[in-house]
Amino acid sequence: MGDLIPLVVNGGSILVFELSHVKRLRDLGIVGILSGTLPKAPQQNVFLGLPLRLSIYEAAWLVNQSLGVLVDGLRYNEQVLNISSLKEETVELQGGVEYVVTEDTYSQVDDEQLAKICRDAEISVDALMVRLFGSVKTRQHLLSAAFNYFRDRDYYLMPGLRFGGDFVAYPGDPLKFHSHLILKVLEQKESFDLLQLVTSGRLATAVKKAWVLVGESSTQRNKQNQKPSLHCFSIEWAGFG
Amino acid sequence: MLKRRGKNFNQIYRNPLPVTLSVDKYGQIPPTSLANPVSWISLACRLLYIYSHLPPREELTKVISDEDGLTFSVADDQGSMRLWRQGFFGKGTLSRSEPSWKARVEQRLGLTNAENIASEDVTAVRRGERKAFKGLRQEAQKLEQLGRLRVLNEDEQARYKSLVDQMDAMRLGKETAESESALKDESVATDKGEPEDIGRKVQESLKISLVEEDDNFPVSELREEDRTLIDPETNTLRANLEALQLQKTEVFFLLFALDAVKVFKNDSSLLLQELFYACLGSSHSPDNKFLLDYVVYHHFRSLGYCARSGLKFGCDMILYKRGPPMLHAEYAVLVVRDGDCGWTDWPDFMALARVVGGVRKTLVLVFVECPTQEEFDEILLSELDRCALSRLFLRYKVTEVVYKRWSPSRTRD
Amino acid sequence: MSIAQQTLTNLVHYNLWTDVTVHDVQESAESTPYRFALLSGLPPSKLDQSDKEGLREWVIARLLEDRHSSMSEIEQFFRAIESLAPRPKRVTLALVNDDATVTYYFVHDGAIKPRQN
Repeated sequence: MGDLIPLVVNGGSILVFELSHVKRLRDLGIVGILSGTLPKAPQQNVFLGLPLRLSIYEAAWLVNQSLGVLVDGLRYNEQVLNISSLKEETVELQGGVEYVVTEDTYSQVDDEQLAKICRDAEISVDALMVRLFGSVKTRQHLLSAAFNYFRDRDYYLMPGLRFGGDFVAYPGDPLKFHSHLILKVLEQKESFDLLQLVTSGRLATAVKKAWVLVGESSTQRNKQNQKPSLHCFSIEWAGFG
Repeated sequence: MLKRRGKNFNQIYRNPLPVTLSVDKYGQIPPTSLANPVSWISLACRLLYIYSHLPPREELTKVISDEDGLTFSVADDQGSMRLWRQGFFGKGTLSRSEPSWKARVEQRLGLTNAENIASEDVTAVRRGERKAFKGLRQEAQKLEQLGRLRVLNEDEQARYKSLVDQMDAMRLGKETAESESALKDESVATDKGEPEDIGRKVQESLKISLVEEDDNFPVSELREEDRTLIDPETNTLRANLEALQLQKTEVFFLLFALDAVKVFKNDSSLLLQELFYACLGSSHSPDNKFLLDYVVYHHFRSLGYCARSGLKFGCDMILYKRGPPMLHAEYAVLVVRDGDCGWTDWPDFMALARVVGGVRKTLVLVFVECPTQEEFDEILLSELDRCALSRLFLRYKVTEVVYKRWSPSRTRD
Repeated sequence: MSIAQQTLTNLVHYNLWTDVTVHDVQESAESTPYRFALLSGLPPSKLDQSDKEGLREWVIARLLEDRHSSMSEIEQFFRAIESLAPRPKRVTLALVNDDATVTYYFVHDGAIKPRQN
């Protein structure tokens, strides 16, 4: 299609409301997390529905690849509503009439209008980072770099808090694969605790994953475009001893 | 080396600490009843007898500290057994918990006829089975992949079916073994909780290794390293390479709290003060890791728990109600210094909580409040005898908090 | 016993490795502040299915008491080995605890392809 997917920023969350967009994103390798209540089963949160919630790293990758655009939620919604809200209509009811059928006056937003709205409501990735984290810190840059590094190698990445890491990387669609990598991103010269290594190693073995340390390589820092170049070590329990 | 849990079991482990009580040595206080005046006399006699003698003193176990102060170990077998059996202190340097290296090696190299099963052998059998299972699985998967490309011929189909049957049998066997040994501690072997199978499998694997040659235990071609161990004239091991190694907190507890050991470095015995400084290391501050760990160790020991190293689970120590051979540990303890800098990152903490939950233990966070640097320095200026050290440790305050993951959706259902 | 000695004993007499040697490592300018030892030897059987038979394994031993490590330290270990032999695809990290437990971890150079457990 070639059109940019609008990534709606509401407060601190980046949301995608259209199902077609969610499908496109999945094909592109962005999984996200469904975060809305399912109308058919509202009193549980094991199964959730639209909107899809993206992390800042996924959104940043999409913007850099010219696949999506961050739009300010308020302005975006206002303008979409201007076009596609139900029009008021007065209908006179005659006696004995039980129901009235009216024309569908809800008009879809077409692609051109959407593109115009998106350009109008656009916000930049850096501005959003400042809003979320206070300032653009090196750690966020590093996490973005790590995300891009693995995404460009066709890994699907999801949040890694459940496994004690920064991301979890799958070699393909998460639903198809069960063994993957837990990524922990370290800044240059940042140290990690060896006891943590024991815990993470044990956890990784128990859930059939490998632990990967991702860090900047001190020798090859590309000063020109400030992009850190990355180096990885994978750690797993040796199985003996 | 553990045999079947016999009537000796409770007898062997009856002392929770290496301390001898007067009543053990001089006899129990006789039963007295108010109505019977004669019994009062026998009570008075017994009490007089006890008080007129010095409190019983076992010979102090010798603990040797190496040059660098890195290790504290007990070399003699009797001392090791005493410390292990009365309180589960220390760990064999070449075993999983109780020092059993000598007996295992004698069995492996065929120097003895005794048939004993050690926990290490059980682990080895389990790992061997897992390896075999993985081998079967790999072959089965190769056949599956091949089957997707073209139709399998008869031989291949039969082979595939037999592989699947073997894997199912192994899985079923493993499940029954697991359910029967659910209560047993992982690091300890055959007891009444463990099924007959494991015992038999270990015996078989050991017998096989004595008879055949396989890559793990080539007997007809002894490793050079093994050959040097054996004394050719008597056909026994020259020396027991294993010692019981004690952690710093354990050594300090045995010396400071129980006075049950004597620590030697370079053949001269260390005073309490010297041991204290050796364990403290270079950083003389109240939140020194050794001090925090020791305070918590002492705290739980005094409550009757057996506290051992928590390395296996990524925490600081694990607590047993009685000891490793009896039941699995119930609690995993993480020592945290109260204040800003003691806390770990959330992702790391979640990982630990998940590991601990996975092995069905309860995570206990112990927050330790330290004295100020001034108070600490003041005590260190004086001579550090037992009194001064007690004053120092009394300044620390310990609070326990249990962390348990709560899943609201699961609890509702 | 030094770290090297403890690890050597554990490898030879507990894990049944053969031909284990301790290597002297030159202290480079960027030395790690933590004590470590470098050993190599032959395990009793292949550590990984895809290895060649008789592959000589490299072991780095660290004290667990020295709680920290970093990516640059791991890189230094690989470089130390590079000065003696071609850079291996993986190194075994031995963590020596003060209760004489030694746990072993593989440190692979790069992100490994996840495998079945």
